[in-house]
Amino acid sequence: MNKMPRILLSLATPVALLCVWEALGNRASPIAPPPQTWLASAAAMLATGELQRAVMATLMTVLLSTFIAGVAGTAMGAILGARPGISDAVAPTFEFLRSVPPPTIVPVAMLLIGSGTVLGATVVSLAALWPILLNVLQATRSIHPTLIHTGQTLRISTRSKVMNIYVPSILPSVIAGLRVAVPLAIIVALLVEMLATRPGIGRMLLSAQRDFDAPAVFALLSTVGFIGVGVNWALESLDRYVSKKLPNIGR
Amino acid sequence: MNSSVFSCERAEVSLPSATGTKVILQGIDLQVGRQEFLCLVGGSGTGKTTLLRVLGGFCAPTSGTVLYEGKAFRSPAEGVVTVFQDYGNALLPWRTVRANVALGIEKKISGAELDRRIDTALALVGLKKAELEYPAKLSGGMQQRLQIARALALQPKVLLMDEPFGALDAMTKAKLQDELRNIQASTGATIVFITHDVDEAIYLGDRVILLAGSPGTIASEIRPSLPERRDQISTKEMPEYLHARHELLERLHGAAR
Amino acid sequence: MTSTSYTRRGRQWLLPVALLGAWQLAVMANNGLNVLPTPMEIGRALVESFVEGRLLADAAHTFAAALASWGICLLVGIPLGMALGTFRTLRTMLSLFIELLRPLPAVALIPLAVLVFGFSWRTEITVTVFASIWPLILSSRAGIEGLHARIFEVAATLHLGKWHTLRSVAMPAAFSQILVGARLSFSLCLVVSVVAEMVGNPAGLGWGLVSAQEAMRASETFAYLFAIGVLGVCANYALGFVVRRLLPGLAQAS
Repeated sequence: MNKMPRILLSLATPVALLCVWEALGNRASPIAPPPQTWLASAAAMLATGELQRAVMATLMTVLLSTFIAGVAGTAMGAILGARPGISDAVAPTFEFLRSVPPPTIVPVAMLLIGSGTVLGATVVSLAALWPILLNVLQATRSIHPTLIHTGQTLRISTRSKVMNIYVPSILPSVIAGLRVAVPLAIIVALLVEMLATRPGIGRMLLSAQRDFDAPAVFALLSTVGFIGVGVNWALESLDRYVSKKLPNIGR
Repeated sequence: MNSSVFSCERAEVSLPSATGTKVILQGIDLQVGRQEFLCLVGGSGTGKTTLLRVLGGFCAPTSGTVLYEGKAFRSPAEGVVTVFQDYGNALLPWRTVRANVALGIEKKISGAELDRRIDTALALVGLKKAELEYPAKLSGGMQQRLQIARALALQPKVLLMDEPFGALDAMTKAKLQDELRNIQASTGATIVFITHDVDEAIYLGDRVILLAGSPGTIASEIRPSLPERRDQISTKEMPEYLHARHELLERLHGAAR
Repeated sequence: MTSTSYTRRGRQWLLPVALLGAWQLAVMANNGLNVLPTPMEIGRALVESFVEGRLLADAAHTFAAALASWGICLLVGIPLGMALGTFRTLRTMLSLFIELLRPLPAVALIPLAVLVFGFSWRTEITVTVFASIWPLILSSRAGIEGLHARIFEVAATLHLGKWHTLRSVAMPAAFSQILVGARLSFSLCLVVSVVAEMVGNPAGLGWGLVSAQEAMRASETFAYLFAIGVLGVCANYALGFVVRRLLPGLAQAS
């Protein structure tokens, strides 16, 4: 099968499912309303502006936290990774800390920080920090010593060393870390919104569920889905772009 | 023809390659007789394996006809079993010898009948003692015997063998050659056997076919007319054997030139 | 152990001990940093909850839910993944569908599940299965796709049926790959169960965590957090042990 029929075939399944649902679904169903009702609900939410506000709120938290986590994680990972003695010493502690699931940090953080505006960014940053930190740590440790010695032998400036040796070696791992961190950030952000009733899609989902508003729940779920797909696509494009610019870097 | 097990008429096989499609075999006219031991020889790239794969049902001819018992087929035909050269990849390492032999028949028969068939197959290849071992513990020769036993358990009408002894040392090879002739005598199976070893082809076969050229065609056919009972020493000194060997080698090298 | 490895081990304990010590002292020095409990208080809360039986009951619930969900993932995910790897058409049909469903975060699914099942174990298990089945499907598919073509030719020449081939040939051969997915899936089952309990099913460690937090019982909150971490580590370790013991034949292949 060549490309075109294949794409159409894979498109057919979700489309067919939605059509069947639309045709057979009961508009008044409390748990499985047909897709048109979702669109109607989404349109209503867009009209009042709540949907946009919620999406912005969630995305802002995710983006801000990812940025903080990215910078901090890369810096910490690189610094710790550069000194084998230190990275070795902190490894088991990090292993233990890593096995605590990030979503479970949320209630603890709520206790300590309260449910204000800082909560979201703090917790999500913390959750997003680990994948990036650990990836960068690992990548820094695996920079071949010969590469570092080369930099020293050629007596290149620190700036040049960073730009030409460290950054290319570490960048793929940063991206790999981001690919894990961003979906995680979305999850934790939504959870914070649900538990601490912070503004965002999570809170809207919760109130839609409490109001037994099934079309709204589906509409919001689809929104989350679109965001997820969009984020995935963006990260994948970034990954491909970096891979093209920096070929043959071992991951 | 109902005396032919396989019947190929102007068969041609093309396969996709890096540079488009390549014609591997061309103009193959071949009849394989019942209970015949047919050997295919030829240099590398002459399409021996491809021809065997066509007979084995893994590959369809791009033109011409290939019939088994007078009927066309698009997947391995009933009664035809292939024995592969890479026995390492062909055996199941998580099953014992016994369980490996059972693989082809365990869904069709069970209980005492199943055990009987496994025992018979193991006896034919002489692996009864190792029946509870795992393949990893067996030597190369034993592993290949295991594959043959597994094929025999199905009581096949045709055995297709792709250089089955190619990876084995000379002594094991010789032993297995004799065992294979005995197996054919006692089971009455038709055997199509690929080898690049001319001596092996003449020693084993009732008929030897030489494939040559690229695309491969049938360049020669020889009937060494050796007696039914053969052995590694005296048979290879017979004038018929030497004559056939001389002829085949000449044609092989002539074709290569 | 040599002296250098003693030093190495010693250094590795340095950080956690230092952190805990600093924590204890900082809180004590500041007259109880309002909400932050000392490690010792947490330890005490842990022991209390344990002795009361609550902690164990909650852990048992979470573990049972995770295990049940994992069982469903195995029963549905492995055959589905193997089918995707075997039947090219099926794979094409479902590829987009899977790529759309896979990234849906479990958290976002909980409200929907609550709508359908209410605040119950059904919600917990449904959400957990949905979130954790993907690694299993993908690795089962990869396991089949990575198989040596010869294996399938052997199945064909021995005239094995499609099911027989899948069950007796393809699946064991793909086992080591499937196992990777199964372990990943198991870890996910544990985490998602806890998350589902936090928002969707008032039972188990997740619910204990949130309850303690809502009641402002700080030490207990931390204690539950610790318990969740420990359950994760122990469960994963146990899984590895069980696999090694229960499937020795497949060890021959791996």
